[in-house]
Amino acid sequence: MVKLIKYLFPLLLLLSSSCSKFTAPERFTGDAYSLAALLIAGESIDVDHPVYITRSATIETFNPNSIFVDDASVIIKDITPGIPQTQFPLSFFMGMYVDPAANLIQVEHTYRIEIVVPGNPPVNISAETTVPKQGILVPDYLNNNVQGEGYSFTEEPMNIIKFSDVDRKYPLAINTGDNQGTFNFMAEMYCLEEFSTNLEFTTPVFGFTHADAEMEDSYNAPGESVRRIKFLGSYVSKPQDGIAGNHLVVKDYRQAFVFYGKYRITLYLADENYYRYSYMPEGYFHGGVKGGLGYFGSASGGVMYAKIVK
Amino acid sequence: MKFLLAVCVVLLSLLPLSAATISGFVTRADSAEPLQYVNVRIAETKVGMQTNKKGYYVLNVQDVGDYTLEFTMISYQTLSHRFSISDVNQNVSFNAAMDKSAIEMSTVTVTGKSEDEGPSIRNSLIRRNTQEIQSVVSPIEADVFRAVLTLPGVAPISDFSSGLYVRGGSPDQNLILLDDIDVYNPNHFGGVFSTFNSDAVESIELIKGGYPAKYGGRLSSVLDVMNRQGNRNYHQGTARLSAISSSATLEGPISIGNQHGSYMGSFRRTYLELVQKMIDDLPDYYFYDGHFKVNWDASSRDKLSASAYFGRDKLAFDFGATLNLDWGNKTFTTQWVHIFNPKLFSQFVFAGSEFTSNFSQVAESGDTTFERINGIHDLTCKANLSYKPVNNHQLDFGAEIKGNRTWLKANTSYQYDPNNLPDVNVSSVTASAYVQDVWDISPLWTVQPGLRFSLYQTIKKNLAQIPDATYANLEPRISLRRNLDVGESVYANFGLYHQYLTLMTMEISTPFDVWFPLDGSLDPGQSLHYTLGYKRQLSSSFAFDIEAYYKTYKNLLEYNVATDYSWNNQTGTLSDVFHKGTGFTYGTDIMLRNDWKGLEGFIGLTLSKTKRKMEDFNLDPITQQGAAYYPKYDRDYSLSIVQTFNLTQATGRQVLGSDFKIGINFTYNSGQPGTKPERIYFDGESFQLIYSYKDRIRLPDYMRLDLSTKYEWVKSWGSIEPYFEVINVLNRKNVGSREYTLLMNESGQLELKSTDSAQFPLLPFIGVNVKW
Repeated sequence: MVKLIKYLFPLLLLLSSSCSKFTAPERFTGDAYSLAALLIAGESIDVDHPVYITRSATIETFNPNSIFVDDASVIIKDITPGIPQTQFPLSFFMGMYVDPAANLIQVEHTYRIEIVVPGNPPVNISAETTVPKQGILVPDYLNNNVQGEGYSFTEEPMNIIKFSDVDRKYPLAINTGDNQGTFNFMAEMYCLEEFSTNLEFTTPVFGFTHADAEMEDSYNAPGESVRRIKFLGSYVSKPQDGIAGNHLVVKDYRQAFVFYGKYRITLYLADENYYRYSYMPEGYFHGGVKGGLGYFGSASGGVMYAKIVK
Repeated sequence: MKFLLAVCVVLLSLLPLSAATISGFVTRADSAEPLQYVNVRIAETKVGMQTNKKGYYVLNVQDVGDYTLEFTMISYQTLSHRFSISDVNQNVSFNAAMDKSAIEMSTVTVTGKSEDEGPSIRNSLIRRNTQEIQSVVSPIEADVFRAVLTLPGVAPISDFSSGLYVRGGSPDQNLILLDDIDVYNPNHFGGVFSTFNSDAVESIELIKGGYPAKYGGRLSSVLDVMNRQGNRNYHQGTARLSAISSSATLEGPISIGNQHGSYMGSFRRTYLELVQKMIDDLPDYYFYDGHFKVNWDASSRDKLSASAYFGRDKLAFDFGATLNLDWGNKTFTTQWVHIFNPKLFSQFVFAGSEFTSNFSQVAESGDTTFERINGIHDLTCKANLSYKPVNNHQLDFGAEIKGNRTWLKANTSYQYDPNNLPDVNVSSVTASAYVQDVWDISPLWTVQPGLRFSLYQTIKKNLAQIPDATYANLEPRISLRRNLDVGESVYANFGLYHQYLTLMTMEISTPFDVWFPLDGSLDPGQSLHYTLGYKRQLSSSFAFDIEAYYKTYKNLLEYNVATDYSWNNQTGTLSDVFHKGTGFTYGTDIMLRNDWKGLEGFIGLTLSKTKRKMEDFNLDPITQQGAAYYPKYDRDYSLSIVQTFNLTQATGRQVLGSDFKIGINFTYNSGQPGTKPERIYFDGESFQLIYSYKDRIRLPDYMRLDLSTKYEWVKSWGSIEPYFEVINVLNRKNVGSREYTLLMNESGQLELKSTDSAQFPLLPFIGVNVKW
């Protein structure tokens, strides 16, 4: 008996563990449908703010021309409580869905999107969003009133801001009017310059003053990168000394400009769907879409431009 | 508590109390420091035991007569002592001092017995002393955690982290003790250095699972680190100089009145900031740490000691604004070892521990735009008693009370919602008691039943909505061993474990992980351990053991990184920031140890599986429920070979007039689980990737070979030991993680590119150790 234990026991223990490589199965079977729609208060669902519906099989069979679903039935319903329900269909136009009637998106209204992608069986996708309260961008919050300097609402002509003046003279600001309280605030600084090794860091990194050629891929990568710095959080809009209304103000943010050059600055007050989509890992699961991935969100705010110079 | 006392009383009443004893302490002859786990045996009666951590032993003798006491231990000369018992109530005291075996220059034949031979069943235990720790090739300098990471059953997650993933457990599930007090975040920056300076460490014990009733409060493992006491015979010192750090250790005897003791002090500091002065724009970083210990024998029955540790890392980084980070541990331990009578050994501990981390961002204007402070305090009183009324019973029992306070507070000058800036301060108390009997039923069978009771309660909190928690748990533990032959045994073990503290940590341990006592919104973690093992001393030079284990987990907590260390101060509870789940691990650890003709070390192999299933994590796209997955630290197999060849000891030859050693570490691990893109979507601006489950692929296998050479010139005043190490000799491009990006290629087509994060490249290090 003891001999049996001596020789069999170690063998049995060894056999109790396996050497094979265990991995999970494919997460998705068949096509994966995604929705990308950010409704902007005061704007219509147009080519600048469209709805995208995409269908994706495997990476290997990916074709950018066939990813966009062109035969879906898409309806937007205004289901705001206390007002009569209205709805309008969206039409497919060059890879996107737009509202031919150009209905304006209203702040604090609740919208529902209903999508049917034909097939056997058809795919039903739906989502709802409530548009945040109004937020108006304030390009020169401190009223510096310097000609050609500060943020501008147009890309051409574009004002300039000295990097050293960013924090001191040009805080980011959104006027929320009579509304004070907490907002999902999102800011994005997007460098409009094409990649080149002439791109100069605003703050040298480990002794490097200019972009390295090896940075090109990461510079051009989609999502957050050195080119596209985002910050978001739960911010408060409140009365500010000597200024009418309520303002959400962000000072000390210049490190978001990594390079000198032209920038597009997007400031949004966002709904929960878009906020969660943006900050959560695998955000496409958290954008409020039922029957698909992606997001159906809404925001108020807008876009400004500036060229950051030495 | 009453129940445990009652059990103790009943057990004690069953035991015969009349026997002579022989007892004492075993020390090293050269330094008079206590020698742990020496096999002590009465040759005539065959009864024996091992010395405890303080070097104490006691054996009962039933009959009058003449006896021979034998002390044996690997690498030490066997010692014999004759003594007589003339009365069955006689208590004989004998303190033994053991010499290192043989002369270093000659070939050594190890005459000791299996290091784990003894009455108590210590399954899943691996012990390492200073010398063994320092013989493991490690980047820059010898390191406690790097040595532990080579052991079977312990998985590293990255070259840049010394987080210990023991048998499928995460680092927060390890109870890490330094002189009997918890150390909460035992890492310096980058994980290259652990908190503990190997010169100051006497020994480490890693219990990989199924640990005895004495320990509690964690689900996976125990790493028990003991500071050195210091040389009690003469003053000595060690200095180490490496590329980026230096350390000095001093030790020696002290006397107060007629009673003697010792001191030990060790201090280490990095000087990366000197490099930084030469290379602009490197982050400004340094750390320092120190270990101190004083021991004093108040009488032959009373030993007092006090020890302390402190360490601090400081890092500043300018990226337009300046980030200032600092963190560190402090501990103190005071101990009183008292021998009530030879059969009743006791240790009383009053100790404290603190970990704090601070983070601030300062704008160019000098204004602090963001700051976060975090910390945990621990104040612990414990008593451990060991009663050996007869040779076939050893009753260990004790109690512990531990108070914890954790705080996390963030402030910012930004108009951030104050309710979403954490401002939490929670205190808790954990009281526990344990009892365990080591019962040698016969020369073949030993059973070790144990029971631990723990009561946990939150006692103070600053936020009203945090629900109070009160948890009480009984934790049975039992081990059974069957001796098959001399130095050969099989054993089985079962234990139940609970954990009342949790850690907010990203996927990899950082100094900014946050410990929290559980509130009423979360149940304590629970784990069941089952172990089955076989051990054999193959010859005087080789030992083999194999252990299979199975662990289940309930109420596992995985930090939800999306919460970014914050929750609503008005409505939030701890459960808001954690994924809850279950898990299991099973596997086999195999270890072949050798000490043969100058070649000393081990070969370790682990085969294992670890799986977890957490709520709202790794979502199934259809059910929107969390899917089970193999976590990053799951390793199918792991092979490690750690060997030191002492050429001089083996052959008598010297190189350049010095003793010469070669060290080798070879590690081969299966690749860690990872994710890969499965689909693509358009987010309104660009094409984006949709990812697979967390464990869809395995990254390439990990392999690393490290080598070291060490010379030792012995002089009349001491020795000089220059060393040269090469990490990753083969310069293998091991993969830490893999990122994917969709990029437009030159022909305008979208292309999926992957980028691997690097591990250690080929790294040479030189340094010198000086001892006097």
